Amino acid sequence: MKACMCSNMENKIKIRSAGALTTIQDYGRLGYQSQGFSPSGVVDQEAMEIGNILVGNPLEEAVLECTLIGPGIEFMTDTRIALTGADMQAKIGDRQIPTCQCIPVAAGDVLTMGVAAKGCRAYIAIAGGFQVPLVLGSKSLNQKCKIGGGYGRPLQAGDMLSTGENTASTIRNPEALQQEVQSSKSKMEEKLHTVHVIMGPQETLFTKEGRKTFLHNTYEITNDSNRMACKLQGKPIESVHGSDIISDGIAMGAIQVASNGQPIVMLSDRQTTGGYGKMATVISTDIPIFAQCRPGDQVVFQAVSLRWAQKQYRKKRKRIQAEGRNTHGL
Amino acid sequence: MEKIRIVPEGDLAVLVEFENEISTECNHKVSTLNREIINANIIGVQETVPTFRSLLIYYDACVISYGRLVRTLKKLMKQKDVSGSRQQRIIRLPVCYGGKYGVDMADVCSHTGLTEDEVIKLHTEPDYLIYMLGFLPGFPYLGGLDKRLITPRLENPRTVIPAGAVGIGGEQTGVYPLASPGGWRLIGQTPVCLYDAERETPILYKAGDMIHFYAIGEEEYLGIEQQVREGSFPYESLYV
Repeated sequence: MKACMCSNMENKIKIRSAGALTTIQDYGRLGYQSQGFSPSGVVDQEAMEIGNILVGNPLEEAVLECTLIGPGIEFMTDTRIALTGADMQAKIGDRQIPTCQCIPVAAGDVLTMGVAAKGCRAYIAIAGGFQVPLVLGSKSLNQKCKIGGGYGRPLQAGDMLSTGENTASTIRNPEALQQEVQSSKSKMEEKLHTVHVIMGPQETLFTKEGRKTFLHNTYEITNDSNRMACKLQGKPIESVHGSDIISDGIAMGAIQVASNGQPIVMLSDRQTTGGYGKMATVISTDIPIFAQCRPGDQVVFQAVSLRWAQKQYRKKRKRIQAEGRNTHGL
Repeated sequence: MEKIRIVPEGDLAVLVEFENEISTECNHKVSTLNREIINANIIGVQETVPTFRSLLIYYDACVISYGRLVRTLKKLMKQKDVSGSRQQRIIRLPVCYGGKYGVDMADVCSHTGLTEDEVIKLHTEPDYLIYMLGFLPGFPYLGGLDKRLITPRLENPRTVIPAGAVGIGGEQTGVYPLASPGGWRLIGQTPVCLYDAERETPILYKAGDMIHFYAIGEEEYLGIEQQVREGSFPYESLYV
């Protein structure tokens, strides 16, 4: 294969089996929410970024997001991949493929993935990224609008995807990423998660008792959870006069309380606006918890200050961006 | 001013809430602030979502602090003090009413006690303010429906309403930019393609603009439909 440099025809992968829900995602479609487009994008941004760093890509390169059951993929070229997020017991032939490492693959290799043993969403980053067209500035699939993601739909068996050039020269597993990798992995070991939230913007719609209920009880992740939202089940939250509001914008991680008093955590495929009051908002560094929790897992909400949340955010961005730069400088 | 509430929505967004009501005055304040923010090109602000009575502003806390952003917003609100009655853009949408293009026209007539011609006349009179876009890409929440046209939604929503369908749902009227389930009473259909991700302007209007519907016959409908299909439709002709 290496002899044939005449075209990049061979820079492709073939989807042999689709898994449960495998889609192309990047940071999402930013700047179009005012027109009603969901932002889309990966749910677990941290996992996407670690993967890209490991294979030497820019942080923002698109990856495959695989939900609960991973895909089977045939490589038409020598390249490098990294698997992050949920552990789906990946193999190439008989060889077990660990998560959070840069893995060289050869043309003809077939990657198989199974059911997530831990976590919910696995990410596959590939050197050079996935060469699919940008639609409204993003490669992310928006399933409702049938745009992005290469095919305008989740990937299916038989789909072919072009990948970029495998440029970076060395394989490295950056030491500095260990903190991210460890925290990413440990999240998936737990069944009870503490989730930090900033109260509001509409917490006053709920009674004092209702707010107490929200902060002092565990809520369980239900089956009715997807890329749009994580629906929770627990002690109903009491409102003063119902939780309906005049429809307004919905941030990532916003916790709506439906009329039945149950919280709903809004994620990447959320609608841009909605009419349920929002009790609180999950801080950005804790969003990966909802990307990886599984039906039956439990969460406890803990209110924090905006100052504290932004400190966590800035620290994390600094580490990831520094590591991204290092990889690129090579 | 005292009614305005500025609060964080998580660590990467801030919500500016004006009055707790749906009114053109209140919505105008939202549009004005939104325009000011866009024009000010504040470094660190990523996008804004204007809605009926509030504005959600996404920002990167590594680039601009919450405190600084709020100070900037307050300054912008003081500056203009919402006197700015800038000319609003109006988009004129051709609609073929009734018959197979508006299958619920008879329901609307019988509910309102109006004739089809009266319904069309009342529906094509106002310039409807686009309060916000949401629910679907380009789905406009419009204000200004004549009260005589109020008709309740269908008891059983349709599983598919075609793109371009114009309907009445309770006190609201609007047009579906893409096929979707829905419970509105359909009174007409526009041949204009309202949403096309491949087009330079995927959505033809934005919150704060106005929509004016005008009636066309079937022949004209088919003509426009063909132009749209062939890619020769002059979209700029929709704006007045």
